[in-house]
Amino acid sequence: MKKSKLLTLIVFIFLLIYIFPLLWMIISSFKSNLEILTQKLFPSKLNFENYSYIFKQSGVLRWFLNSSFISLISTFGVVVITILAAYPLGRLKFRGNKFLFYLTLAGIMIPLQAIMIPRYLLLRDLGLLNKYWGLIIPYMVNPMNILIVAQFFKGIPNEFEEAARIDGASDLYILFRVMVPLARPALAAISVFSFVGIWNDFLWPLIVMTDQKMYTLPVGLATFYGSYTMKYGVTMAGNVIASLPIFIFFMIFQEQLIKGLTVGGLKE
Amino acid sequence: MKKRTLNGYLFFLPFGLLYAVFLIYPLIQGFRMAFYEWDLFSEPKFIGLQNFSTMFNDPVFWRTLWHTIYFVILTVPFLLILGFLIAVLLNSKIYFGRVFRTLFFFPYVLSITIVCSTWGFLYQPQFGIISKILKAVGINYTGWLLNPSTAMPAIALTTIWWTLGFSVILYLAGLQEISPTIYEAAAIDGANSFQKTFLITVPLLRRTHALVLVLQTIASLQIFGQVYIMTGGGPNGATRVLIQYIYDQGFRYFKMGYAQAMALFFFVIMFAVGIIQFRLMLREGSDRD
Repeated sequence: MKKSKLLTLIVFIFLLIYIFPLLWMIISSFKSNLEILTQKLFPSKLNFENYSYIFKQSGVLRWFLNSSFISLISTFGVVVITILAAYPLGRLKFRGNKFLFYLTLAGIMIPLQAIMIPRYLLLRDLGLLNKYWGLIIPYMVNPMNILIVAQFFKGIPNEFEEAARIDGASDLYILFRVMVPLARPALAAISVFSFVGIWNDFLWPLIVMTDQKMYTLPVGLATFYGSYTMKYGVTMAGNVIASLPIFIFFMIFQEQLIKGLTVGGLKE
Repeated sequence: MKKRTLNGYLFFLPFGLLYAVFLIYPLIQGFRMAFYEWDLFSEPKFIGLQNFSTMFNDPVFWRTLWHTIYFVILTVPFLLILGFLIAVLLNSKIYFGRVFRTLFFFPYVLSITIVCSTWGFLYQPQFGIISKILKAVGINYTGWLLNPSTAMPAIALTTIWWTLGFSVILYLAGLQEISPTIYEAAAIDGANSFQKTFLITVPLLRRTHALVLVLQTIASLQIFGQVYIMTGGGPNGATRVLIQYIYDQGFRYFKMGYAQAMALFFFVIMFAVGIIQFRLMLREGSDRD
């Protein structure tokens, strides 16, 4: 069947409207304050004032580094913990296997908002408020990822494992040398998906980090914007800066991200 | 055989420990706290069911609960219908299909701060572009986030824009599972593309509809950040939602017990919706085996 030019045009027009807020954000970030107040459509020249302002006046660089560190370490932790826990659930037959599976499954029923207060108090008692680990450790607990990877492990044919077992391989060897390489697509999907979720999280860093040096990028920018409500050019410049890394990340990993969404059918 | 059991538990242990400490323990504590009066500074005092009776008699609680449900009603139907239509369009025979898909999906990965502050600028009464465009077509309305009757719809529109890509991706995955032979057979019987879409595709995607419905409902019930950033709950409390009320009672006014009682109520709602999600997931698993 031939591709339709008319249909392409319809989708294209709709898409233009759809991404207009982003185009407007980029254009406005180069406008002077006067050009925004007078509702000029385009800036008269590329004006980087807003960008230099936000770098000087806010902790945007520090927040970016905080977010990067927290997201990277948490994602690494999530993947390691997920691999270890998914293996017995998906592959090993032992007493209690079913129990652990249902225990993990029950975990996806607990919304963070329902336990945010007791969890905050727990972190306070552990001395983890305003600490990177106060975000990182709780982020590592993600039952949904385990169910996805366990399901994937389950689907791997037995021959791979048996060949290694005959050679006398241990469970640990089989997990990391046989299962993990075969499950790479699923693991890539959950890593990318976890990374984006942690990078964008708002509620939890808002609760745990009260020292502005420790803010993550979303919380830091929201707080900064809150105190400069009329400087929209600066706000848009901040948004462009904050979108850029996630845009690059998205371009590289979008296939894995989509797989993560459709396999789990989940959302934070 | 014994060693296998030991290994099973050992592998599970790192997750099991964190799970117990950071999910199960707070959950149990949460259930206890709801029966106490506690301001963080003095000793917790056991007051039985008093927090719950306060809650059921608190008009603000009911109002914020209604605002939350109102938000779900404003967002979820559009996330279903628009998500489906865009996915069908993207899945049809068009040029640049993959590029379009990428661009439709991109807003979903932006952080809530970027999305809400950009839309706050669009809605701005004096120099926001939306008011300007509407003025050009003769509509003089500027009060989007400032008027109690349009503030929540405005936040809903922002959220639909933000998370529509997620619905589209789920629908695209569903569409790809439909065998093309069904459409070929329908074409032989003389079905046009409108009939094909609404008489074949819509009913065949029953499970995807259910999935999108449940997941987007869960997401919308959790609304907090959008309101926190865009209106702060205003104007006049018109957009204040349940999570925000819990957050304020807990972290601003230090009514830990009361906040936790409401959090438990929220947990019950989410649990009910979660059971449906549960059944969907288990069914999906058995289909694949």
